[in-house]
Amino acid sequence: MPALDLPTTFVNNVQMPISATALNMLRDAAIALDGWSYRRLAAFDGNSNGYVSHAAGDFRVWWGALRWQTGMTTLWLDGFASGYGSATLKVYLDGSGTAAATITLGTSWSTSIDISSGYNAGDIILIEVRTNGNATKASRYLVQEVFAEPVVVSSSWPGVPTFAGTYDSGRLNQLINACQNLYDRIAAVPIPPTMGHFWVSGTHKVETATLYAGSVQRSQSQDVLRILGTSNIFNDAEHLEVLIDGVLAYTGSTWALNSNNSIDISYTLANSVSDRVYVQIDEVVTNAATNAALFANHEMELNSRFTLHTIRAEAATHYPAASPPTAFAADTSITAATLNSRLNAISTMLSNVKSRLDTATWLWNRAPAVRRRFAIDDHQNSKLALVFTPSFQRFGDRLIVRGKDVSIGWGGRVIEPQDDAWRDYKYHAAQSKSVISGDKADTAEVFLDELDGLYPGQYYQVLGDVYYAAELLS
Amino acid sequence: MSIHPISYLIKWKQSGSWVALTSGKITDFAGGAESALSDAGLGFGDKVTTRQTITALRSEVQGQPWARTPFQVVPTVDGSSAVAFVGVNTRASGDAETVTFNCVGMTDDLPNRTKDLYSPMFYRRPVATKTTASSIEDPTDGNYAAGLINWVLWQAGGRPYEQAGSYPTADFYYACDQAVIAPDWAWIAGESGWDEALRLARAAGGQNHQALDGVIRYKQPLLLVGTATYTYADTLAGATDALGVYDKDSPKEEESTGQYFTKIVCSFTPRSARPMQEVINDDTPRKVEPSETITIDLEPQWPITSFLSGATADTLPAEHLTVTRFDGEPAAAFTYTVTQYAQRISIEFTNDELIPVVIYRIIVHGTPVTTGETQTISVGSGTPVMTMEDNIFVQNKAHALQLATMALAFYGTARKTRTITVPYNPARLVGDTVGLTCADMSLTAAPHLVYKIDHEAGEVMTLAMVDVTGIPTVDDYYIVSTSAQAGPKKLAW
Repeated sequence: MPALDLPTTFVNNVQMPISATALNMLRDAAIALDGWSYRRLAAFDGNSNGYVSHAAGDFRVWWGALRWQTGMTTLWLDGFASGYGSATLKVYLDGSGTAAATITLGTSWSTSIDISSGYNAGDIILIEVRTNGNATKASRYLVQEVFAEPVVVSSSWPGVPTFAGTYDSGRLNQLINACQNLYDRIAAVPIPPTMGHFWVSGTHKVETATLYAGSVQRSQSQDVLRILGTSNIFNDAEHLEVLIDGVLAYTGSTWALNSNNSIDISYTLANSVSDRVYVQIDEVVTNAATNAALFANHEMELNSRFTLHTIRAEAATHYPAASPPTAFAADTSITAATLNSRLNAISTMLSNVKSRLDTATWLWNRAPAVRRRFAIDDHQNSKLALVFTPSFQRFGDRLIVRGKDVSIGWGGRVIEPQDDAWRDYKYHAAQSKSVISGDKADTAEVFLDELDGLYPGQYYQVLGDVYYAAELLS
Repeated sequence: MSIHPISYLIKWKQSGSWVALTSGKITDFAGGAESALSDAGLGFGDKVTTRQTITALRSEVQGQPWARTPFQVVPTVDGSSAVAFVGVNTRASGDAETVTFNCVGMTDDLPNRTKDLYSPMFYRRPVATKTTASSIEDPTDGNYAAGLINWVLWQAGGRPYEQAGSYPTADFYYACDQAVIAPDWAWIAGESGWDEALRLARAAGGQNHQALDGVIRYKQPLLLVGTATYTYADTLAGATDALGVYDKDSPKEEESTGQYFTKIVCSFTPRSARPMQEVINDDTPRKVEPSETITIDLEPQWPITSFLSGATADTLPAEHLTVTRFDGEPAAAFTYTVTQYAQRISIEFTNDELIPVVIYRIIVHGTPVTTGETQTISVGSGTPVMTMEDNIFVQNKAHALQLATMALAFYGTARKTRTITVPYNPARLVGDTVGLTCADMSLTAAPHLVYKIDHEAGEVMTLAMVDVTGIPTVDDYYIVSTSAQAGPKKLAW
């Protein structure tokens, strides 16, 4: 669906009639580009294993990957830290034992790494951030953002033509080339997933447990923070809280024991466009009497479970849309003035899209890195295989994925029967397809149209040991 | 009917050159041309066939090759001279005195000339591109961007008519209009290239003509009908000249509904390029003797747009070609070249070892173009309904709608066909737009498209033509042009 259908090149002075179909392709392209020039963006999952709990000693704070594209020069990382003492963070690329960068920490920190050479287009760069010299369990480290820039395309902006009665190939092809350049720019920016949480374990005690910590970027003025999921409650009373930059921004209604609830939180972002805010989602248990009784009676305690499949910035309702000119009709007389007006309206739409892309460099000049599953070692990585998986709502036509034993799951999650009451919530997808088999890391390019029943707009997960997963428009 | 002086020059091609036959030694000739497939000459993808019989004294033609020899006929009537036939002899018969050559136009010979053609993949390229004095028509030119119909005609030995001076010994000439539709993907893979050229014309509208002058033309739909510059009438005053005066008793009229539809149904099968993947895995053992060169042709299931090359663009990755000696050790001395077509990989392999080697496996990775689910659209309403053929080159909804809407504009009116008998005029060709005046039929210079011509020994000819009043022509539409256009006009489909 997201492919851009453009007409064949126009040719001058060969008795080539101007086709309404061709002009409508340009009109449709302008409409599509106008819509695509706004983009919802998944939150960047930034915290370390177990969020805030870690041992005294060095550990992995963050790991993930991004896909190198021709023209990329710089890898950027930034975040926050507290209680770190004399510790630093070290950044390792592609499994190297030698750090590519050492970050001297402050309350906020950032660093850049030159990646202008040594890679071929499509290479997946593995990134790992580790502490160096961490001495306390009380320290906190947050990676807020990892991305590469610039995003370069091979086509160039041809400008847009003005029509005043001459419909030559120069002007008409200029429209085609303008559409293509805008599309190239939009399609070159990968669409990252939400690091989905599926029946992630909360707590069975009266306490506040952090379920999620990361950041979300307000890319457009219309953006709100949207959190979608479900909860299965095993405490007598609890609710969710969302903190934005450490300040309580949302308090959910109280959930009762054994209730199953939908989570649909929409929070209006008030930060400046282009800025990110720190997002923390907490489970707040106010009454755990039943759980305490079970525990006291030597039965098991049950943590509430949470599924957060989507955490992203998006328009509260929809992004604005330009008004397109009237569609072109074949075999119907039209004055030159009307034809000029409609073609010039397409020019204006394209020009406005270009301005939007140029302005929002924070969105259209960056390729975001993708978080790999939280884990401090392979054992934990395997154990959490079903709990933390990249989650997409299909927008593009193509998925680039690197990892081991990777499959795509869609069409609903089917809970498997359990032998005990621990509620591990083992599940499988109703529909699935293996895309990388075996225990050898590989990169696959998946054409989503080939997955029967996975329609645009539908949710799906990427299961397995996923190093990197991102959609491309086409 | 008045008397018109006629002379004619008949040439045949011997040893690559056109040689005139002595006029006094030609005893008879007759011929004609006809558009086929449809009953009114307006069918998309119609082709025009021409035929000619030439009888000459045996003494004139004895001792020269006859089989598939090209012939050319150039009559002159009332001082007007024009090439009236170009084709090849397909059958010669005769007696002790004379030999009669039965010749057909190049369109009849094209299926023979275009067998087993394999083209590269053409993406979003008009099925035919305008031939001009400077258009690049040679497929080996690095800047080649012509259409697939041009490609087929070139491979068949044709050369662009507008560049005839550069190709004086060409087997035939072709001239193409710019097609109005470009399929997503177009290619030829071993089928008859000419049949595919006709299929392309049906996918884009238009016709592949060969008129009596021997030039094979692709005409785009809006140029099928031009402006009439010659008028036939039953009086000299009403006709353009004396050759335009028809026999008063000759006009015949017919209205057939075989090409009349009010609803058009068209199907399409989407095609998409897929990511690089294994498209050939051939494990047929092939022994190659020392210094021997063999050609291996492999065909992937789907056409491909490109293949994964090795160290150079015409090789495979080393691990994709397994060549060993008899003792199982890898062969070290061999050379090969890979040539890629849309649906064929051709490998020319030479064993440079001093001992035989065996090619055990060839793997090719490529980007295939695969099909989606066939879908159908329709335009218009009521009956009669025309279901267009399943055409491999119609690959998206927009294309199907364009084609069906265009067809409806051509076939949505029942059209009359008319025949007249007039003095022979070699300047009149199938595909000409002429005016017809006939008081009895209430016609005054009404535009007609000539779709069939028969003549006998260059004396009289019968013209069959279709009334094209109201049919869309390029003048009705805005065109892509460097000149300003005032309008109002229409946009095409």
